[in-house]
Amino acid sequence: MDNSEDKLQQKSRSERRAKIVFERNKRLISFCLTLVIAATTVLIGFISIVDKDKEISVKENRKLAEKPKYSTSSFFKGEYTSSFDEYYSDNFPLRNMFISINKGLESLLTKKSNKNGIVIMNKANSDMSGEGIDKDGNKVTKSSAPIEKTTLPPIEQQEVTQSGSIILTDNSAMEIYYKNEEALENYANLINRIKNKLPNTRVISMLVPTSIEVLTPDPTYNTGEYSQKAAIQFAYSKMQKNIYKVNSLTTLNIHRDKYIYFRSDHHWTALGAYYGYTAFCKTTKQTAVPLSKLQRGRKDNFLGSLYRQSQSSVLANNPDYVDYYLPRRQTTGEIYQTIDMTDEPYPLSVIATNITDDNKYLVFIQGDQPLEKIETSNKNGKSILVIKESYGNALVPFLCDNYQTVYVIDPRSINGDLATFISANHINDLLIINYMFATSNPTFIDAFDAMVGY
Amino acid sequence: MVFSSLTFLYLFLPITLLIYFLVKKTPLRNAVLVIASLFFYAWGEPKTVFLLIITVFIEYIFGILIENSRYDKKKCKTLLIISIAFPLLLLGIFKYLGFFVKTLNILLFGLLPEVKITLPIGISFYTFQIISYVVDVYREKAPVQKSFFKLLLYISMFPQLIAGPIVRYVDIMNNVDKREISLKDFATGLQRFLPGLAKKAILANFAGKLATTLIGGDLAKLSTAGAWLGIIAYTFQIYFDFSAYSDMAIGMGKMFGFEFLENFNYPYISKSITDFWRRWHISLSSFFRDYVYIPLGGNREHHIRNMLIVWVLTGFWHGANWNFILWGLYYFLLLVLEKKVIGKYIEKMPIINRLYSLFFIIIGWVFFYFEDLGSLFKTLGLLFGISSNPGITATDKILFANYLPLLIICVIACTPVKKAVMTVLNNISLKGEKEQKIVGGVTIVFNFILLLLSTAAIVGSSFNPFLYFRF
Repeated sequence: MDNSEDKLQQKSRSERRAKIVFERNKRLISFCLTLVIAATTVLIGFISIVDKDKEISVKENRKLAEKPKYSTSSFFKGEYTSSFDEYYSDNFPLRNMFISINKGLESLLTKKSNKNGIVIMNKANSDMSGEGIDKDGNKVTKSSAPIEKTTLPPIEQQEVTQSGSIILTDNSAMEIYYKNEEALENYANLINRIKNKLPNTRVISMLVPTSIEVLTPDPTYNTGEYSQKAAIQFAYSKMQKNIYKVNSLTTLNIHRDKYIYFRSDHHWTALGAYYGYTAFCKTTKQTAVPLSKLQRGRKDNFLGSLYRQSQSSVLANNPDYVDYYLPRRQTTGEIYQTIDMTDEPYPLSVIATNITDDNKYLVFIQGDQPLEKIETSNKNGKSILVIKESYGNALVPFLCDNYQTVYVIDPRSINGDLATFISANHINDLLIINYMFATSNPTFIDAFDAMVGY
Repeated sequence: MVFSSLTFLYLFLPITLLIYFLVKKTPLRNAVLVIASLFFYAWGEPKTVFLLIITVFIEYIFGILIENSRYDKKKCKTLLIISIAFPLLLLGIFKYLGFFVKTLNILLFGLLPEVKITLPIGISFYTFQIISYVVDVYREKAPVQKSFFKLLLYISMFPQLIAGPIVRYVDIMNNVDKREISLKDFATGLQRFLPGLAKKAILANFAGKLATTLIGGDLAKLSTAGAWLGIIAYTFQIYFDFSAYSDMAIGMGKMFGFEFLENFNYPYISKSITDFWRRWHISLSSFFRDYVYIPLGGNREHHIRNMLIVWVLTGFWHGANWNFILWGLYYFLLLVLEKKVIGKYIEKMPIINRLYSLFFIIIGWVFFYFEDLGSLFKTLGLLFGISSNPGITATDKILFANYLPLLIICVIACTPVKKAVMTVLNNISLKGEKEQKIVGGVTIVFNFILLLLSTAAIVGSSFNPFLYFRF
């Protein structure tokens, strides 16, 4: 009997000991967990307070938020705290590392491509406004100090719209297009209205499709509601007969195997613009300058708007390059801020070969400026006004071959009456060139509408 | 301030915890918590923090007045009514006035000027909390709190101030004066907080992206399949978003020495709609049960009327808009149907009862999501194929294929898998010291990775709002 009682006592003693050890280890593990998490947060928190603030994020191509100044009034308006949160987030330690980890997490959970290798993603908000380059090819941002006449004002307008989706193939990104007949009809009416105010001016409409129409990996994206071809035909059908309508799509399709669109940017390349130019010449019965007659150059390593929006490594591993073709005519250009051209102009290079900025598409006529006037050595007395958003920028250098004077207006950054401007300057041709997304972009359409007037 | 923000995680919380644990005495800790909580609230609401303080102060006075009027039942009751009416009036003004004016204007042909008042964050939660306090004092379920400061602590405690759970005074009143936080408690709190953070920053936000892609924009091009995928993504998003907030609240409460009650109990494995409302936002449905339904007579008299009142109010609490009222009515109809007709049959059909519940829960979220009634009914039509839009598009297939890994994880996260895993791990650690240490090590590494990934997700997203933030 003693034996079995002993055994029982021994058993319960060893059980108790095991329990004590278990609890002690539990405390140890709790301690370690607390230590690890606390150390991480305190360390990172400490670094975040003492480290120096960065100014620019190269990866995101934007200025990082600055430390806000405290004032009681800004605190009570809530401005201080939201600015502080933004500032803290923008200057967080190891920010780039965390962004990369997040990208990895995202690809793991949300972006496995299907067998066609197509991935769809929402467009991230991108701040593409206010980019410009000066005559030395250096970037000037909107928030700079007062501008001297030797430097240039901001020039790239925000175009890629806030909502919508991008598809990523195995080497390029393309924005999905949705046909909006109401917008297209409205656009056509704008063209009709301006034509009716200009009986003696040749009015040419040029609608340009984007890469997804011409190079789509899946026929879904250029048929039915996605078809830019149908959209162009619809828009042209609503325009009056006395308007010249350029069919750029056929020419672009013929040359689709060439590098006519960027992979990481929503624009066409200079080569694509050249084919557009040949279609323009055909419609307006002019002679297109042969490409072989033009001196060319190249800017390597271009990652454009669609890269900024998707941050896709597929694009980063396979960057674009920007080929440019120098006009064979001599050109001198000026940039005006007002439509009556009474202000002192900035100098303009048709091809800004000294560009240093990452956004190499700005090499074409230095991006989106309010009003540009280019005089060429082709003294044939003919002049043209180009109304455009940035798609037209790559086309304008080719027009310098056919005209003595080329005017370029971006309606988003200048006010004034178009018809008055055209008659005051005795302009022969009016070209409105837009890529399909612009036709439903309220910023552009409203600005253009205002310049057309009644 | 938002829990899933860098400012909170790496500045506010570590500093607050450090100071809290440096001062050892409870009264000092209470002071730290109140100051930190008011700072937390003022960060997002610099002006209406005073509204919060004043509301609590007035209710504090009422609590004392009620306690001192026990001899005069009529006076006591009158005081109670005023003490309930006052915060409700404030809630009505700040949250619902704009809606009332807008609705009246339809009848008055736009005569009234538009009223736009910014909703103070958390007012729906703290209003109900303070009401539960005065009612419990009146019912003598809770002793009156003689210190305004301690009452303010209860209401303003930052872990639960902004998005619940709706904590009852009786649940924390003992902890106000005496708290002992062991290392184990703190670690337990951490192990509740960090998975909650990951659930919000990763699962809820990613599911939200899918929902927004499909149903957050122009519905003109939406297909039936797209509508289903979108609303299912939203179903995940709202659950992970809201329950994560409760997880973080409970976890942080524990770290500071308070025990909050569970607010969610795997609502998507419900066997009926009645079951669903015992699992979803438990603190809200129990508030309505204890403070509205039962006082009105419960299921003893005017059963249907009481249910109708409760469900319209529940819907309306969620937002000052007609779609929320419809959402409440929707559940009212389903619950009456279950109680009076089909409940007993549903009970007996395993699997089918869960599918039935999920189906109606998902449809319910359509009412919740679309504040514009036109879009709401259009989407309902789409879901049931009553529309000229396509059934399925290439984009839908691609999106589904892309998001499949996330969707699978979401489905798993809706089930009590965590409990099963914890049980298995616990059994392993009981086997011996070495096993226990290995499991412990794995736990530490796992939680560290959760912190890392959550931080990455927060840094990577520029826009990170909580859904239940209109409260």
